[in-house]
Amino acid sequence: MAFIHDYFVPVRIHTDAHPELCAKYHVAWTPTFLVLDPDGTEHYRDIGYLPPADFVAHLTLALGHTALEQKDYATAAKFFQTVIDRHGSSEVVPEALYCLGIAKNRISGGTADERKAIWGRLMETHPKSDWAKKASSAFD
Amino acid sequence: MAKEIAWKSEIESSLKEAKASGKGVLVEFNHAPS
Repeated sequence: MAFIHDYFVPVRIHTDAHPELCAKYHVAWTPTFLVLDPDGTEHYRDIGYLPPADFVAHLTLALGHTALEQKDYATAAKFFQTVIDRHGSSEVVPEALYCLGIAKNRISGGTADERKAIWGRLMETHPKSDWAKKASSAFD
Repeated sequence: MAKEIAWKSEIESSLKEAKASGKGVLVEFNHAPS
């Protein structure tokens, strides 16, 4: 799986052998997947196995979240846009659209126009998603 | 898919490798195979 090795160092932790890591990261179920930065800070988690294409979509979203939380908004926008463009049937597309709006807002220095345009698109294309419901609050 | 990934088994060295390579760390918590 080239994608994973391009963007991550993959580690498998056996829960029975490392209860201290399970406690540190609050792991209550297996499999649990975490995305960490090199400092060990968690930026994303998934529980359970997904088909490969869906898993890649989730991990691409995770890369966006990591960059967003590190205030690297241009990189975050790039990964969120990748989710939208390359994984259009994934269930994480609404979240990617919502977060793309946040990243674009940060890039523009707080201007709401582009965020509202993206969130409007989210509400139009995925009106029943919780992310569209969250976005709708910006239009009240 | 999981079988195609070259999983490492030690988190501290993986964090160091991630720092050196500019990558993130993907951790799978799972039971040991029986």
